[in-house]
Amino acid sequence: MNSDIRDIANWARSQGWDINDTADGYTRFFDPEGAYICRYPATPATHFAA
Amino acid sequence: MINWTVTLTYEGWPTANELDDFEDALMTFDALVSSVPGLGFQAILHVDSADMIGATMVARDYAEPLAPGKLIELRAMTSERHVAQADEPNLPELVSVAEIADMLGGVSRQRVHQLRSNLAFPKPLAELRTGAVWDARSITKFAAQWDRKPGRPAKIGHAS
Repeated sequence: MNSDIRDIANWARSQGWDINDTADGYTRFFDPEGAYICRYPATPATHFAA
Repeated sequence: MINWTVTLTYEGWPTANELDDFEDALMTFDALVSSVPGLGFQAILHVDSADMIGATMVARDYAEPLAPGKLIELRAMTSERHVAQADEPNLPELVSVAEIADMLGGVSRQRVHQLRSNLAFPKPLAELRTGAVWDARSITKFAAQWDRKPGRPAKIGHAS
């Protein structure tokens, strides 16, 4: 898990969320009802310059 | 150049794999794609552009053909504003009868319950089995306007 999201992941767990680090290098968030919400990469990319 | 955050909201229920594919396709915008239960899904894109309209058009034109759903909302703001907005609390400060008693200058909890029959007293946000909870701001406003009547004089001793 990327250290940027460690605090929010811990908070989400305390609220019944399921947070898993997966083999593809992402941390995945599931809400208390089990619905998949989003993922966060271990190494986020930089933003696009238009 | 200004860094803009553009949020595209879609109607539809793609699978987790489809959301992953959509996010991967928007990688150059450092996008975050997430499902929004009861609504659909969102894509948050970061775009550098001289102006907001330009950033919005870049985001929409790039994402639209790739999105596994129908666009129903589009918002743009500076990334600075987006970060500030994300930090704003989305729940009011909650108070119960005990806190309200303190906020009203140390009245008893029974007095707070009596005051609930006052038409000017705020309605609670929720009634739980353990008691009601209010938005602290509504109580602060009530306290500022409350014309407190003196109660019974405190007993200073017992008659013998």
